[in-house]
Amino acid sequence: MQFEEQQQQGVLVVRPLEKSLDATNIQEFREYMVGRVQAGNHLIAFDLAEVEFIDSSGLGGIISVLKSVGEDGNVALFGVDDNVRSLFKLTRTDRIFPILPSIGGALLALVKN
Amino acid sequence: MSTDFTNPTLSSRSLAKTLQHYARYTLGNSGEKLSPREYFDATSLAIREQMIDGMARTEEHHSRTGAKRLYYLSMEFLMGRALGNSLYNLGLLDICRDTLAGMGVDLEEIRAVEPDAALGNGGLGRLAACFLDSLASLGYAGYGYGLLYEFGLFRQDLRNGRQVEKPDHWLAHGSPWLIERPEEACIVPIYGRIEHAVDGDGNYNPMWLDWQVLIGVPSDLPVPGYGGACVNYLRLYSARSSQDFDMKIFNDGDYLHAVEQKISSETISKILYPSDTRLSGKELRLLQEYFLAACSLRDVFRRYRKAHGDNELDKFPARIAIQLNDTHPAITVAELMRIFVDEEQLEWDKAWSLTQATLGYTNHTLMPEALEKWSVPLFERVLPRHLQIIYEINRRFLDLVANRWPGDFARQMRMSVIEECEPKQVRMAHLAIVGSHSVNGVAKLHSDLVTTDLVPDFYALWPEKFNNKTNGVTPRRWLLKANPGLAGLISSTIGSGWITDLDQLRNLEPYADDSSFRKSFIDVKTANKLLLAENIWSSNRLRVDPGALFDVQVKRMHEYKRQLLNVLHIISLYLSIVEDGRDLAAPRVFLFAGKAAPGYWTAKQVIRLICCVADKINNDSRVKGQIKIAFLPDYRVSLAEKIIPAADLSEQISTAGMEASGTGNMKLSMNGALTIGTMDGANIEIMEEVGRENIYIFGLLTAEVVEMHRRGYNPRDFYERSERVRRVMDVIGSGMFSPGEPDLFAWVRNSLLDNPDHYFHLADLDSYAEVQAVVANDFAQPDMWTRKAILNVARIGKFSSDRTIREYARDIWSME
Repeated sequence: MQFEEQQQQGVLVVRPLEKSLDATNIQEFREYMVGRVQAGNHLIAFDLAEVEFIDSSGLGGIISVLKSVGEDGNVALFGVDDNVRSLFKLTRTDRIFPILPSIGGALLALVKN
Repeated sequence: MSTDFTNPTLSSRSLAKTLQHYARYTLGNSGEKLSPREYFDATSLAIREQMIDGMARTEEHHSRTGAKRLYYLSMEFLMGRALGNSLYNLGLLDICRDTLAGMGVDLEEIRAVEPDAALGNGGLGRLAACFLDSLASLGYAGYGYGLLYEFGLFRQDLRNGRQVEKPDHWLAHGSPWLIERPEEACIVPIYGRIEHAVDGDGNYNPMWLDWQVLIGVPSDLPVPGYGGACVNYLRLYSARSSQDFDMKIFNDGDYLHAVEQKISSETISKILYPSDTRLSGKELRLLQEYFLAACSLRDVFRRYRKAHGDNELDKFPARIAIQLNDTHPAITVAELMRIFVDEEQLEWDKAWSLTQATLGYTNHTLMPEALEKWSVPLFERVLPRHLQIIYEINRRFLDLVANRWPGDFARQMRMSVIEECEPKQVRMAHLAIVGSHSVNGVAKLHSDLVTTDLVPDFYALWPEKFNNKTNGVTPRRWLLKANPGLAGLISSTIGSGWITDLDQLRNLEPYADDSSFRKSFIDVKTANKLLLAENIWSSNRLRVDPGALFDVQVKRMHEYKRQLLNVLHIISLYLSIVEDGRDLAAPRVFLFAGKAAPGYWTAKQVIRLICCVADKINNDSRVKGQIKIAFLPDYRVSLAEKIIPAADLSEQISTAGMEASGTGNMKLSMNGALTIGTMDGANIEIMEEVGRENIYIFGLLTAEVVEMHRRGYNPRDFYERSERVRRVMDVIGSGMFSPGEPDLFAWVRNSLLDNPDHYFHLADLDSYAEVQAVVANDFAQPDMWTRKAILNVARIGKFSSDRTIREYARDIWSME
């Protein structure tokens, strides 16, 4: 699994370069993200522009990142496709991390808090 | 017979050209002689073009006028064949017949190739199909939502009198009518667990995690209204596995297991459950019901957003109505709440008021075994979030009950959506009642019994919710198409306005006293009987006399419908001929048809009894041909269309209080059969319409059945008192009809005589036989009989499904 990442305003912006976040690749995703959190990244924005499908494992993977960043950290999402967004809504996981239209909004949401 | 209007938009020449185009470029036949199936496919595809244009025009019209949309959710749509019906409704019958004749092909042969779309068990599914025809014929924006079962209701074979079920792979050759819409597929999560979390504001946030995913792929079956101005659709969903669903298993290298998983998820729309009253509480059935509700609501919201954007949910019930055909789609209550609360983030009270205002529920049965319940552990495993929502609905509902009746805990227990037993059960009828603004029965008596016997507590709480919508049937399929001879006679006598305004049949009344009209009426009936006689020869190898009284009982096999009572009467007639030397007033052909649920032993034994009695009596020379009996195999819509126009007598003999409405009774009366029936279901309203003197009523009333039950029904009293009852029961017990297996029908005696039979056969036998004697005498007087038959047709207008749909639209859906 490949990622692009960058630091902006103290936020780690991670873009998974996969069309699907699912059972086949979520372990790799988790391991990668554990490393990034352990390296001190507690404010994380996921750019899901490449992701067209996400299953419950993929969702679980993103939730596990939120749990690992601790009280001081947070996770935001942006670039979320309508189908993927509908799954976040359906499962009410859209209520535990902000989903924003653009990187600017995501950074603002994370930095503001 | 023409359709009484002709569509001007299509010429025979252009139809021929289109047909040839499809034969060559869709079917790939580049010049070989087309088979009947190829002709059917090419013709249907050519006709479908007209319907697709019609659908586009209709959608444009409904969008432009802001029409309120009605979504009719039903696990069953018993559509039958589509080609003939489409040709009639589109006014293309004559053109199509001429075009095919020009190619040397008989349209009737082509129509016979089409398999029935048997996506239903019986009355409930056929009602849904009639409703779709009426919705489109009346120009309403009303759509059916169901499942695209790969296997419809089983095909019934009879082997030595035994029902043998065969799979109905109706899509084996594909269907030219279905338009698949993969781009409108939706995702449906199932299983999983709830994680009890808090959201960013510290509020409780139950998250539905670790689910699996099904994909719902819709296919549309166009539904043309009469006249072709409005073409709606029936949207049927197939379950597919998500491509990503089983990736992990694929990845682990277990290819076969992965394919098994894929197949398993696709079984959800594989087969229709083959019982009209007994549901087995199986996980697959719950998945099917949820799959229907979830796919339908996703589509409803998709369309709603497309038309109105994201922020108009307040107006949802003003623009959308959803009708639940029985409790099968009742999970819609929880799914709609889930969408409003979880996805749209509405406050609970707001979501609840929108849900109630949107949904209506139709109850179809008082039989306790047909009232669906699901065990809570199963429900929680399959739909954990929905169970949470149902508990919350119930908590708030029971608060309301407690406020209304403080301290009445027994009432709370009775009304609760959750039955407190082991394991706990979710009562789907209660969920549907609580979540809907309207609860209707399907005939006056039935609707009354819903309020007095089935759910009196709910009626006491919300009397305004309860109403009656007496069923109806579409006169397009059941008279115009099924009985072109009678339809032609009617149109040539009073004009063709009756096709869309069935009350106009009243104009036939004066002709009941017109001898030349009566003769024409008899000629039509005789021609229909001749056609059916050929059919009986072909399927049963039995010759029948078209001059005999055709006595017809066609419906699902069930104890409460009392096919057994009919058999008891036949046996008593047989005994009076062969033992008492009495001839019948008129020879009779007793016709039965109907399927028994595969696991319903008694119903299957009744089929066997009918076949054995038929075998004995048909071949007994002492009977001199006065009685013939046939059980016609594989009852289905297309067979009903042949039997009903040929019937003289319609058997509607259920135990009073047990048949919700019936619709066969309406179809038969509409086609000039006189009814012999109990005061049950819609029989009562048929009697009110056609007149007490034009129907043969017998038997216990509902109140008498209840009273007899209360006092303790003792069938022995009737056995001791009635010589007829005694003779018939003794003969059945003697093994006369199963000489090789004398005890084969010992169960009849055991069931009707040695136990308090719930269906009161022996209590009604004498009354039934006495009225049957009156029937026989009346039939022997053709002028009197025909007059009554004509008056039945003339006064049947109320039972058009157009009337029913207008009432739903006005009273429940607020579409007028």
